[in-house]
Parts: sequence; structure tokens; C-alpha cells
Amino acid sequence: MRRYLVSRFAFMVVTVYAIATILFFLLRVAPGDPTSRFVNEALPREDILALRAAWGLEDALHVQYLRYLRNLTLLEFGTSFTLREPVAPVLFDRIFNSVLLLTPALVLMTVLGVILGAAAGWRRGSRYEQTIVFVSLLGRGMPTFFIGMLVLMLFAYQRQWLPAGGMTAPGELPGRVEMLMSLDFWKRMILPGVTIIATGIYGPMLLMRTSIIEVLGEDFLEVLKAKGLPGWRIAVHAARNAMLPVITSTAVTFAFIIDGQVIVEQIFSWPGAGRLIVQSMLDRDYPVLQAAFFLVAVSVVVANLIADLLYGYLDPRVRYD
Amino acid sequence: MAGEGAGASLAPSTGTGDSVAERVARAAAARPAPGPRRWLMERAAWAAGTLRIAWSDHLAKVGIVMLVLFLLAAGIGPEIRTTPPFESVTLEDGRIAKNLPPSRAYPAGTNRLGQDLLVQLLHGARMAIFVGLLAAGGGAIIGTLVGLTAGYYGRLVDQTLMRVTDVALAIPFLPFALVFLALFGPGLRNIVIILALLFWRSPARVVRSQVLTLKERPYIQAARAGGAGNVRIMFVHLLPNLLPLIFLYVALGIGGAVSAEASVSFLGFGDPLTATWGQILNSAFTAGAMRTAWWWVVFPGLALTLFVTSIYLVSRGYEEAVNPRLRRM
Amino acid sequence: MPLLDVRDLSIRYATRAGDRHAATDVSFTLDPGHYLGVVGESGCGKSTIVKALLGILPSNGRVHSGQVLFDGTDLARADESRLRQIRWRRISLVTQSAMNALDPVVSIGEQIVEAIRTHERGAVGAARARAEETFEMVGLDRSRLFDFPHQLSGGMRQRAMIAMALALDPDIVIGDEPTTGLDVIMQDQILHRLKRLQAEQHRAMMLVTHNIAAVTENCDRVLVMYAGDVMEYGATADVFLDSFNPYTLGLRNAFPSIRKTEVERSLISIPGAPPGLIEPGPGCRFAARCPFAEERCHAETPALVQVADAHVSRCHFPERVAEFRERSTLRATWEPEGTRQRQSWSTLAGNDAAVAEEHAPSLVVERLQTYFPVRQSLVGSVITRRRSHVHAVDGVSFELKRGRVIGLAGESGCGKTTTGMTIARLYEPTGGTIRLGDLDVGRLRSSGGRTRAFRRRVQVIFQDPYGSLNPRFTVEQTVEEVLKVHGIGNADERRARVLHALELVDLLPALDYVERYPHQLSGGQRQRVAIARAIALEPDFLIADEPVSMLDVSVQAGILNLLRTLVDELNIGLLYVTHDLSTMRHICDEVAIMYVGKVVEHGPTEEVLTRPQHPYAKALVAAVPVPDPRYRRDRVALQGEVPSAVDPPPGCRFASRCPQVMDVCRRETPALRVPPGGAQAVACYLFHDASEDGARDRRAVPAGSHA
Repeated sequence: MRRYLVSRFAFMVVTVYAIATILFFLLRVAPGDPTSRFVNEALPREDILALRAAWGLEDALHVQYLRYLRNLTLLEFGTSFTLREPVAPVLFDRIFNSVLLLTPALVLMTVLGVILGAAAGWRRGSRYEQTIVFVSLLGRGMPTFFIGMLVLMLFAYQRQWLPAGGMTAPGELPGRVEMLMSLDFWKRMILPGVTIIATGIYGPMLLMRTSIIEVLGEDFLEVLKAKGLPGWRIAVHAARNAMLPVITSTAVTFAFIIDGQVIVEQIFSWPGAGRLIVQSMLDRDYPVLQAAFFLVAVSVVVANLIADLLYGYLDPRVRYD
Repeated sequence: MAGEGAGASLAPSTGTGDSVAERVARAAAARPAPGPRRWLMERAAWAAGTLRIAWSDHLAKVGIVMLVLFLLAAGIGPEIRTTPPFESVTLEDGRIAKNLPPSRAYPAGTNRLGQDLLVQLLHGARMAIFVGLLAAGGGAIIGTLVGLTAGYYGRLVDQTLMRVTDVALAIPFLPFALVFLALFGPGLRNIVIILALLFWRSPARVVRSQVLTLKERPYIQAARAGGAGNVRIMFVHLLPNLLPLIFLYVALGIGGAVSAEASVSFLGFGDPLTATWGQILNSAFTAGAMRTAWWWVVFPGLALTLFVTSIYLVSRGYEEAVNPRLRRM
Repeated sequence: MPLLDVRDLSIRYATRAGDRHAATDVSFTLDPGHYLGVVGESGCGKSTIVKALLGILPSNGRVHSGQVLFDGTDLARADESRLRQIRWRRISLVTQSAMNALDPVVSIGEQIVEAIRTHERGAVGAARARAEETFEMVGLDRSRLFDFPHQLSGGMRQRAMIAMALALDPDIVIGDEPTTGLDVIMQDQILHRLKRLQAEQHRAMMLVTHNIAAVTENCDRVLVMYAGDVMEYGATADVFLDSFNPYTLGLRNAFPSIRKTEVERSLISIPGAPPGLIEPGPGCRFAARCPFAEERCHAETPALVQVADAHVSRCHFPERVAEFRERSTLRATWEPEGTRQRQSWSTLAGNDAAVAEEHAPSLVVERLQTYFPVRQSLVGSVITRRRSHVHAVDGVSFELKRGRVIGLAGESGCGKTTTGMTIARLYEPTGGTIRLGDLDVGRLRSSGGRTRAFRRRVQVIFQDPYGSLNPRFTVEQTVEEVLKVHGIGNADERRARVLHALELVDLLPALDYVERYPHQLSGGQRQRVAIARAIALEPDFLIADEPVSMLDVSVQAGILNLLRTLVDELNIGLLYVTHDLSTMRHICDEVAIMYVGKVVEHGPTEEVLTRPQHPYAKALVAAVPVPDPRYRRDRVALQGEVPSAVDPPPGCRFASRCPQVMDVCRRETPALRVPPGGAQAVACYLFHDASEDGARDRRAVPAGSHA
């Protein structure tokens, strides 16, 4: 287990490093004057030159590279062009907002997906299973933004049951605690949350279904039956084994969920990191774009690590390797 | 498949005393139809068999029908309804036909600028198939080469390539695509490139793991024992056995690429002068069509959903056809 | 009154193509304290019967008719709650391959406790104590009770499974292929333990297996099944010594034996393959393969006829048994009509075969070593600098001459397959030499002209006939492929060669086979195609890795006979790698026995298999069951497990388990030497002094190669 931990952790570090390096070179390889990516071109010319020197863009590439890595480790992402503030605090604020929306949606999605999928696999060939499969196939083909727009159209505009967007009512700027305590905030979370779930639930659901079906073919279930165990106890054994691939895939799904998150934040005007990426892209605000992308990538890597550790915990074959 | 040689099999084959020349002559006579034709017929028979199995699955049947309709729409639709997609159409009284709900003349309605949405949808189908094939094909080729090389050579080559793939898999698509497009400029060409660059990852992993099992198969060992070299084993013995899997990933990739392209376009980083479904929805969203013109949202969204779903249905049927283990009792 | 009374049990599986009649009118009884054997080839319905007894048939299977009477209940009709009370508490099961039979993510102890607590209320502590007790009863250390299945070796898992089966002290224990997949010695230990438990506790048991020898040695009564039908049923000695049914007679002929208890006999295979069981028509199921079948056999299903006291057989002609018994021992009786006369390559190709004939060099292997690095992750290899190696083959020497067969035997992991594959240069040798004439095989690069020339002379036959043929190639493409690779002939000449190769392996008429794909062939036919591919290049040597271990008994014999014939008639040298010592008796000239990478004994077949010298060879030979109810063999008890081949310590590899171990064995590694007056070479200090093994003088020339 120790070796497993060490190797997984080492891999995480390597991945983050690799992503940072790719980003560094992308920013310098791309066509156009790289200066524009670090210095706001709207500034007067002498300021640009000064900033260029201050940014060290005149230095040799490897010096820049090492400085870049140092800055990333210290979370010094520079100053936003548009906000004229340091990037880090703004970014962390936005990431907090994203996590606020994503966490409950993700948990609910996985739990629901696993339960519904397991039931479908267990009752193979039933009407219920066919419905689940059909809905999943249709749902998987629906892009997030279409679901989001439909949800908006139906529940916010046609029937004005729920607010259409934003995290707080327009014009209001409550404190965090105050916001979390208000019913309005939770109501605002429903539509984007539902959209995320409706986009991502099919993955765990279909996988759990096939995984259960696969496990049902295993010899040990026959032996469990021969042991005289009641059906539900056999189901517990099966579910525990079937969970394993679902856990691994959740990490991969997470990368897709991030895609969905970016779009959902855009549609529902949720002030999260995804919206920040899109906005900074439209504004060509490179320091923000770079930092936001980097942190999002890191979060995917961390999610992978967590899934790996969970897998290692649940599967003794990995634990005692 | 084997039907062609049937006429020849009546020839006795057990004679012992005849000369080499006689044997060679008899063997030549027993040879069935010449190579390429036989190969083609075998492929056709195989394809027909696959189709038959897929057809026996109702959902796949629905998928095949839908896909054929999409192909027809993309192929001949724009030739029948020849209005350019971004031209405003006018009513009889000369006014621009703005925000018209579905009618006989404009079955999918018109948008705020009076553009015929059906025309845009038909062009969108064309673009979807184009983008999907290019991106998924490119991704599958890269993925296959990476997976085949990694799986076949193993050891350090494998470790290195797979770590690279793992790193690539950790990169979230949409944010990366946005950064890439921010740097290299938005537009369809760059979107296709970025899609292909991101769609090789799953095929690479799956092909590799398949190669890992296949290369341990005795028939690959047997080919090596028979004297076949690395390249021959990879491309003559391994690749044909991988093709069903690769096709599956091309199919899934088309679905994925189309919806990914739509996402990017939806966020406004597509090519505003090309009618793709994502682009239509982007303008619908910015125009607030959810409140005013439901048809502007629903039709392109539905087209996208049904196209991607039909791809999934067909790939699912195909997967069950080529992988009998999945076939249900 | 019998404990279990099965009456006319018929089981059918619903499939798309129609109902599959997996078992038809099966009747037998099991008395308390009796041990019943059920034998038959794959697909004969024996496992189906087991599932029906426990009421765990898969969802598409159902009992069509008949009864399973146990303790006043008809298990075939009982409801689920009644069945649940009987399962495991009264009838328990030991299945094949316990790795798949145990939940991989739950510890073994928990699984045993679960079985106990499902049927008995009581404290967890009491159940755990019982689990520990049964664990020790099967010879496992109680400290490993809460290990996970993957942490135990195959043999230990199987014993843990037996412990679980005994935990509730059931009335009947059913072993369904309980030792298949295990090594000979472990197989013997498990069967012996089951037998002891059965005899000591006077428990009723059933042993369901394809291994006739296991049944003849252990069981009181035996049920012979074929294609879902009971063919013969009676006391073990009666059924196997005074067989009435032609199928039983055929099976006896086909089953290899390490002892020559009967008259010098060669193996005889049963031609053909078992019939499909989907909606079968009337007639005896065996009629299509029976050499004595008459018209009536095809038209009318024979009944089970009482042929002697408590002995029944399903055959129309019990009165002709004397004739059957006599004629069945002749090969000609079973051979299909029209078997071709073999013709050597020279008549076909003329020139180059004749050249090869002249200076036929042998394949000389000296001190061959093959090490594999232990798999490490990229990170792991950075952390620890020194790499561990598996010493899969560690100093193996022998000489293989053309026209002779050397058998390489040993348990799994002993390096026998690696030796074969290294000689075929599918693996890279780490040390030592392989020489073929003046060709240094060990130094060949992985591809290139010289390698190709070598491959033309040494060909390989693999274990798995289902995997060794490319599923996308027809038979012709498969055989032609090797010819193409070597650039032999034009299309017509190649086709002639392909046809000839198919004829040589008895795929007749060859033209019927060329267009077929592997899935259209039976296992035996596939293996014949694989052999045809190997001989199409007219090689001088063949390396066959377990060529029959995945085939049914009735087919095995045919392949073995074919290999021997090819060796004799085409003057090919064969390296026969196997775990099955019994089959060696029938085709090998010499036998070499390996243990953890080293050959411990090598000599003429007769000597090694009847008078083994090395303590390990003795144990191995003694562990092989003999398919003769009269024969009683002496077991050699071996302690412990096979040691790891990762960086093994110096000394004899067998020292850790050897009953006669001496001090010197742990320090020095014995060389393979022929003791004075001995017939075979032995690597053991019981037969020569350590001082005789001069540090540099390791001329290990096996005696057999001079014979």
C-alpha cells in the first residue's frame, strides 16, 4: 500500500509538472507577439517596455521557465489585465463558487447513478432496465447547453418557478455565510445542479449496469448462492465488486464534468471558475486564463488521485500489491 | 464466405504416387476466385453479417435509420433548399421574415435576422459529419499508432507512451480547448485540430490494452515463430484484429467530436460564418431565444441530440455484433 | 435408504436455437459414507447435474422432468427458502479454480464465517473459532484465515474452499473438478485429503471430473456420462475392468497412463466429436463415433440395461461385450476409414529436403539461462536501483536429435515452457548456448535473414488451439502465411504445399478444410491445423508446448499419435513440454524433469518414469494417479510450497522441501551427473559427492542423449 501511495503521488506531481510545462511552451509557441500575453497592450508604450523588463521577457528561455515554475508553486499568477488586481484571490473566490455548485451535484449524481444502474443490471431484461438504457442513450447524446437551455426555458421562463441565473439576486452582495443561509441561494442552485446531474449521470449509471452484469457471470456468485445466502446478501457482494470500475471511471468522468461545469456556469451566470475562463478568454486576459486553466487541471489530477486511493482502499488486490 | 471453393472440393485429394507437376496443376485448378474479388466478397459478407446482427437489436435499428436520414439530409438537403444559410429571407410584402414560428414555408421557423433555420440545420448536418469524421478519424489514427506501438514494444516504450497518455487524459477538454483557441485563434480548422489532439487518448489506451492481450495470443507468437518480423506482425496480424475496436472508437469519437465542437461554438469560439448546430444555438442563446422563439432552441438542440444518439445506438449495436460476449441471451 | 436419490433427471437450457438437452434421464443414488465419481468429457452434462442438486441452475436452465430426492424433499421442486436451508448446511460444494469461486474483495475467513452464520445463529466468535478449526483440518495455518484470496497460492485457495465446504459438517460434499488447473503434486494432495476426510468422517461425497484416474483411485462407484446421457454406472472396479459400454472402452483406451499395467498399449483416440444437444433426435448419442454402431443405434435410443449386479450400461448389445472388449483394444477398430498413407516431403519437394537429410545436426542446448526482470513501475525503478530477476531457466542442458522426442516435464512455474520458448528464440536467452549445427541460435537478432533461416528449421506448436490460430485467417491463409514469410514458391506451389501439409496431419480431404475459419473447427482439428502450419516449412525440429492439455481425452490421443508419427516418418526432432507425465510415457524417448529452473533428472523415459532417483522426481512420479482400480501407489509426502524463482539462494532448489536434505544441499548446487551404474543423470548429492562437481567442470551431459 505504501508503494502504491508513493507511486500514485509521484505520478500526480509529474502530471501537474507536465501540464505546467505544456502551458508554458504553448504560450510561447503560439503565433503573434508573446508580449501581448503578459502585458496589457492598452498601456502606454514606455509602460509596456518597463513591464516587459519587469516580467523578464527579455531573459533567456530557461530562466523564464524556471521563474515560471517558481511562480506557479508559490501561486503567484500575476495581475489581471481587466480587473487590475492580483489573479490569485479573485481566482480562489471563483473556484470556491464552483465547488459550491459542483460538490452536491457530483455526489448526488454518482450515488443516484450507481443505485439506478445497479438495479438495472440486477434486473436484466426487465422493462425497468430497458427504460434506463434508453434514457441513458438519449441523455448521453444531449449536450449540456441544450439541457441547460431547455431547463431554463421550461422552469424559469415558461413557468417561473425558479430563478434563471446568478448565485445571488441581482444587485445584492451578501457575505458568504449569509448567502449560504439564505433559501434564495439554494433555490438558485437547483437548475444548474439539475443540469449537471442530467448531463453526467449516464456514465456511472451505464457503467454500473454493465459492471453488475459482468459480476453476475462470475463463479463466486454461484458459490454464494450454493452457500444458501439470501438474494439481497448476494446483491451486496455483487455490488461491492461492481463498484470498483465505477470508481476508476469517476475520475475520468470528472474531466467531462468540468466541461459541463464551464457551460452550466455560462448559461446560468454562475460566477465560478468556468465562467471566469470564458470571460478571460473573450477579454484576452492571459494571466487569468493561464492560472484558471492550471488550477482546473490540477483539480482533475487531484480527483484522479482521490479515486485511485479510494480504489486502493476498496480492492485488496491493489492494497497488498 | 467459404462458399466459393465448394465446387472444387469434390476433387479427390488422397492420391499418393503422382508427380509434383500433377499436384501443382491440381492445386491450381482447385484455387477459388482470384484474390481481390474474393477478399471483397468476404468483406461484404462480413459487413452484411455484422449489419444483420446489429439489425436484430431494436435500438440499433432505430439508430441506423436515423443515421441514414441524417446522411441524406446532409448530402442532398442543401442542394434542394438552396437559400444560403445566412441570407435573410423576405416575406411577400418585402419585409424580412423575422422570428417566424414553424410553418409550411419555413418548417423550422426563422430567426431574429430572418434566416431560414431549416437551411441552417441542413448545413449544420453537413458540418457535423465533416467535423466528426475528420476529428474522430484523426484522433483514431494517432491513438491507434500510439496504442499499437506502446502495446507491441512494451517495456520502456510502453511506460513512456502510457504516462504521456495519462497526463493527456488529465487535461480537461473544454478549458484546454479555450486556451488553445485563445492562442491560435478561433475557427473551425483549429477546433478540428484540437478535437483530434484530444480524441486520441481513449483509443490509445484501449488499443494498447487490446494489443497487450492480443500479442500474448498464441497465434501472434506462432506468427513470430513462423518468422514474421515486427512490422508484419503489427500490421498484418494485429491491426486487422483491432479494426472492429478502432471503428467503434471512430464512431464514438464522431459523436463526441460533434458535441464537443458544438460546445466550443456555443461558447462563441466557433466560426460565425459557418452554420454549425452549436453556432445556431449560440446565436439563439445570445438573442435570448429561450423566452421568445422556442423553435430556434429546440430544433438545433434536437438535431444535435438525435445525431449523437444515433451514433451511440449504432456503435452500441456494432459493439454487440463484433463482441459476442456482450450479446444478450 | 440412500441419502440422495436422483431419478430420471432431465435438464434443459433454453437457447436461441432451441432447447439444449444438457442432461437426459440421469439416475443414481448416493449412500451415506459412499464416494461417487462422475466422469465425462467437457459438455457431457456433469456440471449441470451438480447445479441441479443445489438448485443453482442458471436462469435459462430448468429441470424438465425427474426427481432429486434428499431427506424426504424433492430438490428439483423445492421452493427457494427450503433450498436455502439445505444448501451448504446439508450439501456443500468445492468448485474448480477457487480463485473465481471466492469473492476477491472479501477475506477468506469472513467468507467462511458468513457461510456458518447464514445457517446458524450464534456469536461471531464461535463461528470464527469453527472457521479456524476447519482451516487447520485442511492443513492451513490459522494465521492466514483472514488473508484475501489473491494472497494464497492456488493449492491453498483450494484447501480454503474445502475448509469452507466442511465448516457446517454437511451430509454431502460435492467436488466439481476440485483439482483441475492445479499441479500434479498439489492435485494429489487435495484428492488425498478429500478421500481421507471422506473415509474418516464417513461422509458421502461426489467427485465430478474429467480425470478417470482420479475417480478410479478414489471412488467406490462411478457414473460415466456422455452428451447428457448416463452411459455406464456401477462399482468403480466393475465399470473400468469389466466395461460393457463402447464409450467406456474407448475412454479407457484414450486415457494415458504413467504405468504400463496393461499390455504394452498405445493410445487410441475416439474419432469425431460429441454431438450437438439442441433438440437431439432419437438414437444412441454415441452412435456417430462408435465403431460397433449399427442401424438400430442411430434410430433407437438404447435403455440403461442391467448387465451385472448393480451395474448398468446404455447399449443395445450387452451380449456382444466380449467381442467389443477384444476389438476395442485394436487401433484399426477406431480409426476412421480412408486414413491416408503418409508420404514424406521429399516426394513432393525433392531437392532441398534431401540436402537437409545428409548432415542432420542436432539441437544442442548448454547451460541455458533465461532471466526475466521483475516488473517494476517507472517510479519504483528510480527508487530502488538493483533489479530483481526471475530465474525462470537456470542452467539447462540437453541435446535433441532428429527423429527423437525429449519430454520436458515439471510443475507450473518450473521453467519448462520458458526453456522451449527460449530455444525457439521467442524469448531472449540470458546465458548459455543453443547451437544448431554451426548456427549459434542464442546470438541471433530478433529478426533478419539468419533468424528466418533458423525459424524455417525449428517450429513451434502452442498449447491453446483456440488461440493459436488467427481468427481472421482461413486454414489455408494460416498455413500459407509461413510459406509467404519465407518466400517459398509461387501461389500454386504454395497451395500444393498447404494441401499436402493438411493431409499429413490427417485433415482429410484437405480441400474441405482450406476455406474454413478457426471457429468452424473443433479443438482437435484446430490443433491439427497448428501442426500443419508448423510442418509446412519442413522443419528439422518441433517444439510443442503442452499441445494436448486443453483438449478432451478422446481427442488427445489422436494428436499425440500424430506427433509421434511425424517424428518417425519425417525424421523430426521433438521437444515435448508438458505437465502431464502420463502422456510422456506414450511418445517420449527421453524425459527431463525440471524444478524451479533446473533439470533435476534426465534419462530414458522408461527409467525416469518407473525408477526415478531424484527425491523430487520420485515425489512427482508418485503423485500421478493411475487409471486402474487395481493399482495402489505409494505417495511421497512433500511439505511446503514451491520456492520463488526470484533471485534464488545458492544450493539445491529442492533443499527446502526435500525429505532427505543434507547440509551440503543448502550450500552447493548439485550438477546433473550419471551416477556409476545408473541409467539416468541426476542432480543430487545422494548420488555423487559435492567434490566431484569441480567448480568449472560442469559437463552435464545427460545419459539419454547417448542412447
